[in-house]
Amino acid sequence: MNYTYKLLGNDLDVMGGKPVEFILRKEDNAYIPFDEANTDYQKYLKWVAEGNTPEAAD
Amino acid sequence: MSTLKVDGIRSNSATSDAITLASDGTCTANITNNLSNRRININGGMQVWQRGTYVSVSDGNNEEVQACDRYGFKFGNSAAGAATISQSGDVPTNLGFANSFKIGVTTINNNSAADTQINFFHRFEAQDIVNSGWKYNDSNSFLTISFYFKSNKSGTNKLPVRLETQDGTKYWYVSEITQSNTNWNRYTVKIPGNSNLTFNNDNGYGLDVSWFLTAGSTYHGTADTWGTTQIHGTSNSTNYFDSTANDMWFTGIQIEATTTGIASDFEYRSYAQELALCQRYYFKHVMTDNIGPYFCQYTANTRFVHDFFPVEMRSVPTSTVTYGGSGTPTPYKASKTHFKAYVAVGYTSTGTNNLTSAEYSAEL
Repeated sequence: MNYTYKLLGNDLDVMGGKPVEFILRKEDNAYIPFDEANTDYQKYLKWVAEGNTPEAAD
Repeated sequence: MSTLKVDGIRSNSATSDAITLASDGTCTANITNNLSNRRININGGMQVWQRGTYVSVSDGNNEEVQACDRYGFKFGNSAAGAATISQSGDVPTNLGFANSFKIGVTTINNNSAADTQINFFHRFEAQDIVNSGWKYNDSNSFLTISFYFKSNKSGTNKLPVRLETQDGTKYWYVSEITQSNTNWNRYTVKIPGNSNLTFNNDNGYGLDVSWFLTAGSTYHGTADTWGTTQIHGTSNSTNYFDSTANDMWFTGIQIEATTTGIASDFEYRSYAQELALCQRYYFKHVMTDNIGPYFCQYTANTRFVHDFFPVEMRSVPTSTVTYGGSGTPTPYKASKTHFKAYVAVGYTSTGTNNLTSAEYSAEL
């Protein structure tokens, strides 16, 4: 399956207001963490390196 | 009382000693039965199927690990064909196995595409190879791969077992077994070390062991030698996807470090042991009536949920969760040991939020 991705914006202010450290994989609503050992994150980085752009956060 | 004084004990038909006695009063024995903690692959008896026990698979559809824990299936280079993967009770007679991994061809691949590849695989963390006891840089040390295999495909068939290293310069190795009847048989291949192999002592992807059920000519090479050219089989390899009548079964897969290349007896483990080992890579939180962990009020307008994993996972996992209640949960700083998320909902006396399903994947 060819997956696409969406950014998740910022945390609530009560959580520090920093960027959410996950990417949403749209086709199966999976949350992918920013962990370089995670193979789904590796595939996301490869997808971006191939010139693709994730959907902007809401 | 008498003492038998010898330096070694050897079968009349063997070329090396079964027991070697040393001058310091110790001995070394090449024992192949009743051994523990030798099998480095997980779920070799196909006991654990957290995701489900049946799935249809084809290129782009349910590839990778989707049914039996730790064992995946792949159609590479947009390979034609399709199959069903299922948990089977067809097992070798009286050997103590309950399950096998069945592959049933539902759409053929005639192997006309030179780059075609269809493989059944098991993957290792690099640190589990480093710490396996296999002296992978020593050609006199072996990774011995034994497995029970059966197919109703008649005739004499060659099934390639292929290794692919992941760290440093990639190396490939193919060794073929010969299937000459349609019964269950145990097959063994021995993989020698090589001075050029690299495995990092970390939790990254280190080694792929694949059984190629069809391998296009682009990836044919020479058997039983390490090389830097990607190979999946040889010109003798059989296309097991040439008929929808073909079924294949695997069980009792054992991958172990040996000094002789000879496989030891399959090491049986309990379901609980295998499940815990599998959960390092995938955890399905089974919930009664879809009622999982509840979100607790964290601030006046925020609720927070934690879902703890039964074992530490290989990496921070990809999380696929569903939930009940208002608002949209946002995952927050998950780790290898737990998932957590918050939802912007204020306190009410009746409204609740809870996870209704949760799956976590840290597969290789």
